[in-house]
Amino acid sequence: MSARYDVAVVGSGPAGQKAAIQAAKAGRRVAVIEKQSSAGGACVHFGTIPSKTLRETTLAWNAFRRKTRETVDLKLPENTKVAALMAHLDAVIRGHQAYIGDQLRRNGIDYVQGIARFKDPHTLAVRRIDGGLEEVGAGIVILAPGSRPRTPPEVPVDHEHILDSDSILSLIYLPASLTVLGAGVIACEYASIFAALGVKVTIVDKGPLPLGFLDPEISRRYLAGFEALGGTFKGNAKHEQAEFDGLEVSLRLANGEDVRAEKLLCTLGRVACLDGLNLEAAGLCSTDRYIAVNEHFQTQVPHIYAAGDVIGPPALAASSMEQGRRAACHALGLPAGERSALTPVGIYAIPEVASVGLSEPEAIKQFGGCMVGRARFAELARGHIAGITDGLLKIVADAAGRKLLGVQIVGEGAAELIHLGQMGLIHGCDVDLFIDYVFNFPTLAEAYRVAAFDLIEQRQARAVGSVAAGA
Amino acid sequence: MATEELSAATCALPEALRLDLTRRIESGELQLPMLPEVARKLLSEEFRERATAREMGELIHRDQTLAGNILRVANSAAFSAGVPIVSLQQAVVRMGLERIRELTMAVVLESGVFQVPVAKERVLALWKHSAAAGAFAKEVARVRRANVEGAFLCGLFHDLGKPVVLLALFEACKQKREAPSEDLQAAAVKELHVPAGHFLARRWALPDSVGDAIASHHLAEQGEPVSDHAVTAALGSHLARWALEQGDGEPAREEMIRDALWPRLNLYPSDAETVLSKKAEVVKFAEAFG
Repeated sequence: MSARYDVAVVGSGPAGQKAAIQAAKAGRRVAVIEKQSSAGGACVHFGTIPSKTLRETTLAWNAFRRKTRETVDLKLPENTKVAALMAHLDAVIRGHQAYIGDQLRRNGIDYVQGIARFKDPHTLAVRRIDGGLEEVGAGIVILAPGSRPRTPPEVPVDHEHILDSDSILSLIYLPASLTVLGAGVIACEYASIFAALGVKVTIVDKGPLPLGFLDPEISRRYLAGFEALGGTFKGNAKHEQAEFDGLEVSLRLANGEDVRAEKLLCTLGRVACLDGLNLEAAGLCSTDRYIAVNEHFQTQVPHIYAAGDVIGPPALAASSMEQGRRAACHALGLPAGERSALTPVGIYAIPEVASVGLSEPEAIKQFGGCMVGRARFAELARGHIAGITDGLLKIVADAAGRKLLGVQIVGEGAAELIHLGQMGLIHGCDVDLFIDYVFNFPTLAEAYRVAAFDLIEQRQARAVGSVAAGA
Repeated sequence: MATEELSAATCALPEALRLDLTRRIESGELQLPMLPEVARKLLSEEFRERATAREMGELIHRDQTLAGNILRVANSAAFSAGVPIVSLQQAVVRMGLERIRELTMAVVLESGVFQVPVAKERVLALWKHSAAAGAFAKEVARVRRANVEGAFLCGLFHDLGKPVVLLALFEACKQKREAPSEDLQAAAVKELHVPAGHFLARRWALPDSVGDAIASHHLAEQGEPVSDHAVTAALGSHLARWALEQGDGEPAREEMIRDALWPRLNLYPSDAETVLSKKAEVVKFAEAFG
């Protein structure tokens, strides 16, 4: 069987969905080829949606404990079933799948279930689940097959004792202890969620701090929150070999130390899902881990585009959606609008972390200096009401303390709060913006005003100092 | 008689006998035997004194009587703290190696292993089949990124009712001093093994998923909408039959890859190949003590 389309999209995760919908809205005949029986990709089945569902339950549980601790002493029973903590996950996933599926159907997009492989630059052979083959021909191909966890040979992931981020949520009981190898976004999210559920968690990483790509002040704040949950961080630690000994998983470090836990989660990055695509038949070659694209997400073969995790960092669901949309726009000669370099980062750890624009070290490196305003959530009425007093919002301004350059936040609600800073950055605002306009009270957004006041105070102190020095 | 033939009854089970067997099964007095070789190993002084956690773990995964009893005790009031123990590994970690050692000894002594009373060859074949089904169910779960420990138990116990029914039947016939005919054995197993297995799973406080797999794995084979646990157990059983009973022929292998249960779990022929490639390991595991 053979079918011909204007656009064929491989993968139905965030990048694939948006690419397909954009192309369909432009009136093109579109097919999405997807291995799973329902759309959504790893984001829905293994990643973003399931982990955030567990996190939401954990937060609700912890908030309940915090708010009732004067009256009852609550503790999760040992051996609690993970499934029980994600009781509404099926409903969340089904809801999400239904919504994505409806969206594809509404836009007249054909859903082809199977594994795609290039036969030639314009033809994909699709291996169906029953073993049969069909062909999909297309004028434009957009590759969005996503990524999978990287598993180095010295960490033999068996999905039973040594797990990766695709299998960690298949656990049917909470382990007593968990070693998390790696300290990136996925590692820190899971480490803090399991620590908050009472699991004894140890993060092991070669870097000196978790979330090493962030401003160290923010990373240290995350670490303090993680340690307050009972977690341990072993930094500057090179791992050599992981092994299940029949009772526990042992992780041997280069310094001779043996870190032991009931389970180990390996989070040492992700690699693009390129296996079986037969890129050579399309005239494409890939780097070791990713497909190379230009600023329009176009590969070296002009009618083939790639978007999402398959092209490498930042590999965030939000940026993947935008890449998919832009790839389709460029392929079809449609205006895509101005491309903003300002992608916010949201890390759904406990505490939550978010960042947009320049961090303090980046501003110093780029401009030679900067001024920083800080607001601690303990200074906010809303922080006290909600029991969220350990947060921090940091505004990075230029050296004069006026122009907004970036915002970093640690604390509950960070991923939502960051968008105020993003809007300020997009519009090139001064920090005074946060003082000049009225915010709701009591809110956590008030932190912007507190941090802006901190900056203005420093500005004034500097001005007074300059006058005094001049006098 | 191969394991599949046990379900191929050609005669009906007399009502009086059906009631008698049901009463015997539900009395809780039947003691499932253990694999003699597993028992022998557990009783050996060297193993008792020097077995590592890995060796002990491997052994308790091989024998459904031992595994079931460990879960039963782990889920008893003395150990469970009110929360179910849902995997053997979890039981080993929570109870500790020493306690597991003591418990396995107690199970060996209670199980009447030296009196494997009936149809020894058949019971042995059932044990091998269940161990292989468990091991294959694990591989299926690995490929799906589903829970491996839970899948193993579903495979291991999916036909738990068969030896129980046989035991009850031989007990019933012993009083009449006659061995049950092949046909009668098949009829009893066909009619009663699912409710018997389900009853025992509840009595042993096995995880709900295991009870579900026991109750529904035949429905999975009939294409009924059932849980993934049940489909995984049924697929594990098909794979075990292929690996232990159908030789190395390519047609049987091809047929196994085309089994209608794979797509039910969203698994492709390439995934099936991955699982089938574990045949040698699984057979070695299942036959280690047979």
